[in-house]
Amino acid sequence: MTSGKFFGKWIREAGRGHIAAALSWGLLMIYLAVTLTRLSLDPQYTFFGVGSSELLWISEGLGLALAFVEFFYLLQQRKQDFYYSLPVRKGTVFWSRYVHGILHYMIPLVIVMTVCGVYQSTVDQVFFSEAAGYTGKSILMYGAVFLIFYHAGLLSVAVSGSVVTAVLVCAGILLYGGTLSGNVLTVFSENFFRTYYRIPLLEEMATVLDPMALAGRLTGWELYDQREILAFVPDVSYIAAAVLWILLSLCLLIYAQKKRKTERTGRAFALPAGERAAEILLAFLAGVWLGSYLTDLTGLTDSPSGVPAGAALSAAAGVCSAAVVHLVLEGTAGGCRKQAILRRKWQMSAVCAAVLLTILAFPAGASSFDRYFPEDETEQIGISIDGLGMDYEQYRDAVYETGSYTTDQQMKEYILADEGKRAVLAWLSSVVNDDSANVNDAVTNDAVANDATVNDDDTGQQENGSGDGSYTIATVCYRLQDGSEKYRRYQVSREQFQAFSSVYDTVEYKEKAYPAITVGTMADARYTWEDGVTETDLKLTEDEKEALALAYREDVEAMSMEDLTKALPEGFVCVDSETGAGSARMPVYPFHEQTCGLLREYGVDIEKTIKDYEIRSVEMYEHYGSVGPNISGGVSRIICDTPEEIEKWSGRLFPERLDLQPLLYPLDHSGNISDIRAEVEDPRTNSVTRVDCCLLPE
Amino acid sequence: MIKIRGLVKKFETACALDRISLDVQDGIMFGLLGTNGAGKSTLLRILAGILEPDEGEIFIDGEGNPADPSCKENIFYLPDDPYYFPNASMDEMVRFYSRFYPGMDGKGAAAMAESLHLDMNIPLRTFSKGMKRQAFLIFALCAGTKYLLCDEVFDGLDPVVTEVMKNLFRQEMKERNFTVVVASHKLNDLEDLCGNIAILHRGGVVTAGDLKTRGENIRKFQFVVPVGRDLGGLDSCSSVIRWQREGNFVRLTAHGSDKEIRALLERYEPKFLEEVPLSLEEIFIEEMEEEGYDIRKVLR
Repeated sequence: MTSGKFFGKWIREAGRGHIAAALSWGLLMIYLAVTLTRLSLDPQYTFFGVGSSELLWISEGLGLALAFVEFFYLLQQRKQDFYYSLPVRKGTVFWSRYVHGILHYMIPLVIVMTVCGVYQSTVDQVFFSEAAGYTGKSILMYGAVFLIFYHAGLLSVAVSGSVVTAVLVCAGILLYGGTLSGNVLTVFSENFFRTYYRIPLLEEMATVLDPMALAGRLTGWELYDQREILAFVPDVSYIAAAVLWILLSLCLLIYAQKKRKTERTGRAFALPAGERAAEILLAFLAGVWLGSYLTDLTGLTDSPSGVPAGAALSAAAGVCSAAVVHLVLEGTAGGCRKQAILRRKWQMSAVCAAVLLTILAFPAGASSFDRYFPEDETEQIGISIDGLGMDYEQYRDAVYETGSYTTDQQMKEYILADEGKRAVLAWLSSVVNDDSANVNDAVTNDAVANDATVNDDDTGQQENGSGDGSYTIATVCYRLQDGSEKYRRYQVSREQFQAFSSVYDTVEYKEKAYPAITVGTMADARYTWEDGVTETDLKLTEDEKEALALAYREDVEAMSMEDLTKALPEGFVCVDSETGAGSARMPVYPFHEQTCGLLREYGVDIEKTIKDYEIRSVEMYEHYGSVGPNISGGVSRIICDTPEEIEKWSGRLFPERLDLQPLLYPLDHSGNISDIRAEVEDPRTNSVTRVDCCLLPE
Repeated sequence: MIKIRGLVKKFETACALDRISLDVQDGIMFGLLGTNGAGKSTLLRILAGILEPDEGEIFIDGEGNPADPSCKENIFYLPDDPYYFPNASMDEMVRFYSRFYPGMDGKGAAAMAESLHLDMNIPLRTFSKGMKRQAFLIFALCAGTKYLLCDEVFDGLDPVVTEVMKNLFRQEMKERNFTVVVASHKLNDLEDLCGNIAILHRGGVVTAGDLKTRGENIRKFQFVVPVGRDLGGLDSCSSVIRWQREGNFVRLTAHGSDKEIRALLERYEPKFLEEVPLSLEEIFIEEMEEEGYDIRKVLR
């Protein structure tokens, strides 16, 4: 009863938080006004809740700001003495302010979401049916985001004794997990694991340990399509991570509130345990971070023989760095007194040991990681081979951007579960075993191998000069029976690449490589012939379409990977459904005899190439190196428009769109010429078409 | 009544309070005297429930936990630099305090403010330092609490304001029975207010009690002796605490009654002899030196 009486008195005092109120209500009301205006203009692409990055920033910012505003008294001895001398429990002061901060965010948020939801329902029929669910989800998700940041800010203030420390601790809480997983563990993995491509667990860690990334995932900030946003439900793992963040920080907050020492206000930390935890975490991060940085910087682990030296350097630097940071922090806290600096020797030793073990765990586990081959546990397998089934531009992307969109996309498309999977596993077995046998001789860095196949001086058919036999890279995603995914990246020799025909020639793989054969006949679809220069409508009957689809399927099933080394495509048959049933693109090669025959019957001149068109000019860029003192080189634009020049180049031009197999049938991308563009006259329309070209081999 | 037993408070390695034991009787003004860092403010902050002691016990009217709100309802803590809400006026602060202290006398506060020419309705931030101190003393005196803890309330004030504030204390003490504990590092601030004073030094209580009463048995005389008179016998006299000679003029402090000391001094045939009153500071000095402390260092 007594506590209730004093709490009642205090809660009225807590209402004095005018700054918190003005900040929260003010920002959210401005957001409401702006959002309503935007909704009135464009309800389809304006998202007031889930999908709104502006509300995400506001929620994150308010979480931190309200935490600091409400609990700033903990950092001011004068104000703290004033509150604590009043006949109110310290806990009452603390928790009433805690509730006060939450109410000042949640009440205006609910109002803003409700008003926006009601308004959008009146102007957007698509939204109407989803209004309640979307609004509710938005309140829950942004409420969770606010609580994550509110608790992080609050915990920072509760353990700190000064503003500077509170800000630094807050930054630490927000950045630590992401930095550790993204900038340390990932870097070690990249450098020590030869077959590293991605580790989903690390990526998940980077998301769930980084409040900003987690908040983005909870609120669908990466989505832009209204249907996706309305149907958006965050992944259960992210919801669980958010709940864990909130509860864990709340538990720590309860502990900090009870154990906080009032007399330590003004010092760096008001909670002795907080000081110790900050020291341990900071020293550990400094150690492993410097270790990973040096590993990456020196590149010692690029060659297998340099791995021990790289590991030793990294471990030594990491341990020294952890010790130095520990001593500096102790010295700062203890006023540079020798006794203070050396007072926690065991703690320093433990942190240094942890740094050492963490760093050495990577080279120690590298062999196990690289030899991993879950032949029996694999349910499905996704595969992407750089340069196979991708055009030259995609090939470049795949080579130069580790973890590129192209590779990821191809791995998603080429998911094999049946005979294709068996063939891939059999093929991989030889690659992994061969690779493992030569583990000490292989080159770790992708770029070395890739430079051999994609560079200005190479046609793409040569192996690299390091003598390791690496020809291209195969990236594999093992989808295991337990639902997890394991990624590996293998270097593939020319012989192994050629042996991939055992996979390529399976029906399952061809269905992925030529998806048009699975689409079947689309009676309502528009069929066009594209030869890389112009498009021609094919006026086909339903029977003709069916015959073409059947012929193409039979041709594809009959072809082999080796055939692709002998011919370039003649063009594409593009199928585009008018009813949205789908679209497909059929690359047609000369060895697709049935398809070619039918196309000729339908009046398509499939042999017609760019040189058969009237070329008006050819524009190209020539790159040149050093041409004299203090002139480092540059680019010159060349325009060939005389008949002699056009004659000279026309025989070598080939539409870039048809450069589909840069490894199996490489075109000439060497030399100094790039960005070739031909101006071609289309006689049917009497117009000029610009065609991006590459050069046929001489 | 405030009873303090074996109170210990450590800040890291420094011991701010080292097994302090004190009794503060009801209805008195109790002074806490000590140099900076002696532990006065720490003691007051513990009594106010702001800090928690590491060891020892405090009983306020028999209640063992000063941090308990029901106990704190009887205590008003007035620090040397009190906090107030950024734009609050005296009137707002009185209303704020009245939520926590049921005995808060708003009308009394207004009357006191008027008598001191303080405007109840303008923000406190516009007040001078002395005016703020007066305003907070008004809040403290009008809160109606049984105990008032004041930390360096006269520090930095000019003599006029100091006197005004002391008068407020005296006036309130006459009107109601409450206990005031005043901490200061200057004896002058306390000697005309406090009967009971405790001296703190390096976290410990050097001495405590009603020193004026204890000083009743100590007297100071000044006298003039004939030229060449030897006063060496005074050194061997146990009742003499100290004496000082300048030519023929002698000052002497000694234990005993007026009669006994005069009888002692008559032996030296003084041409002139009179008793002079002892200041509280002198009483302290004598008391402390008797206990083995060099009090001049304590009071410096």
